[in-house]
Amino acid sequence: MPRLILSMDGLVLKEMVLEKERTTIGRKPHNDIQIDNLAISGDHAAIVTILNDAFLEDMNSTNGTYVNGQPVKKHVLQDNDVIELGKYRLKFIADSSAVASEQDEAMSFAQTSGTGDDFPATPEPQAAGSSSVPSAAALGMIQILSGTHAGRTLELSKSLTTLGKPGFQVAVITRRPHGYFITHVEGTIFPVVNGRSLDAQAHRLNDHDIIEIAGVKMEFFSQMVA
Amino acid sequence: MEHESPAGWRMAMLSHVGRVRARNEDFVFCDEALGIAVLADGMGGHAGGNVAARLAVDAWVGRIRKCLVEPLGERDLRVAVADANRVVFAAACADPALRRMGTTLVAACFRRDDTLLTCNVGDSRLYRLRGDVLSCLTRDHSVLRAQCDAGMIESESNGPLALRGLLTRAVGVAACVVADVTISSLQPGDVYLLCSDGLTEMLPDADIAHVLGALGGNPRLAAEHLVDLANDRGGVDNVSVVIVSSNRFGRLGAELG
Repeated sequence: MPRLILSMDGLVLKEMVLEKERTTIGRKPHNDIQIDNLAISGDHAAIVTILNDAFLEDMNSTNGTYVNGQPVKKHVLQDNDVIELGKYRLKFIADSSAVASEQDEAMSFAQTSGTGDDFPATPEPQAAGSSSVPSAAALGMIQILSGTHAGRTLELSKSLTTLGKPGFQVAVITRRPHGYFITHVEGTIFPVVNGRSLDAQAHRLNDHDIIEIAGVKMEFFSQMVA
Repeated sequence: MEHESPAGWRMAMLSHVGRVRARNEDFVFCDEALGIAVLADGMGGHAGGNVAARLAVDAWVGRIRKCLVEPLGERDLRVAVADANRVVFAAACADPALRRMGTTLVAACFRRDDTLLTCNVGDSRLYRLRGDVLSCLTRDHSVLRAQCDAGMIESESNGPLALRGLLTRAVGVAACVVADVTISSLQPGDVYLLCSDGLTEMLPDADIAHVLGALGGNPRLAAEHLVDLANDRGGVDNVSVVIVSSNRFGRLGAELG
């Protein structure tokens, strides 16, 4: 079923499934999607959904409705269209099987230093035959295998996570749409992945790679986000 | 691009065309030994944008080099911007293909007395990360910023889209231009970022602060990562950054023991 992801300033506020035939958006409380902001008209816009097709209509709002930067009165919504009302953005996702990357980005504000209690100690088994290369939808994790923090897991939800011992050796793991990459940041010793020392280039991480940074061994793995 | 400057400020710069535009009209320059960093985002004309940005930066740097025998002062920066303006305006008037070209300009001078001298024209910005606080030290000369200051709109991000990117001041579009000049104190651990709007249109301040905090110890990586992030999120404009850091060690996401 089609969905809308409401965000402001890059921060996801809400996700809604377009279940009704007609979904109204506006400042007044009777709207299905109420946005309490003066830039939004009382009855701002409406979306009519018929099976997987959705039509957006501006209800003669004061400040207008924009789709992908263009002002619209009536518009047939396409997958990944971005509706802008004031400073609010509604991303339209046509199919529920498509995973929203915007939501992942918003989670990047979440704390990275997992305590280990919140996450299963072992990764969920991946679907048989699935590629071992993590996709943008997958959330990368690190499980510490040695040292004083052995057993802990660390969620790589931010766009980058630095790890190591300052002044000795630090590496960064970056999250890109096409996967996770590890890069040396500082120190004379470079990170080791699966027994091989890296050079200055970014190195793409695959599931179950064993990484060694500052003498600590850890395993990289990824999970599909629900 | 990374070697130690006498004052300990390490710099790295990166300019990328982005994922939509055909041409890079940004131009960046930095010099650790001189302690200067400058960025320009050109616009207009058929071939004009990149010409304007390059001419402005070259003229600005040329004037500053001549002034460096003595400590730089506010007046030197204004004179350098006036030089840049004159060079770009003259070129635009002389060649019909370059008519109406112009450019933004933001520059920072790291002085040995631990003060920072900045100048800017247009909507390219200078940010400072001090501790956890990211501050924008420059003020955009844009229509949306002016409307926001006048109380016509709540914030620059909800102004009419048609006005986005429209400037109220630019280098090289008229015979004279006035630059904003500021002085602030430098502190050990500060990280500075000069950037074009191709970065700030794509990334919220929180993401910029996070990258500068985590990778401040390695300006080159920080620059690469900011440009990658902007491109990952669409890269609708040219993306350029100059990072200046006195920070030895970035902030750690996880300390290993």
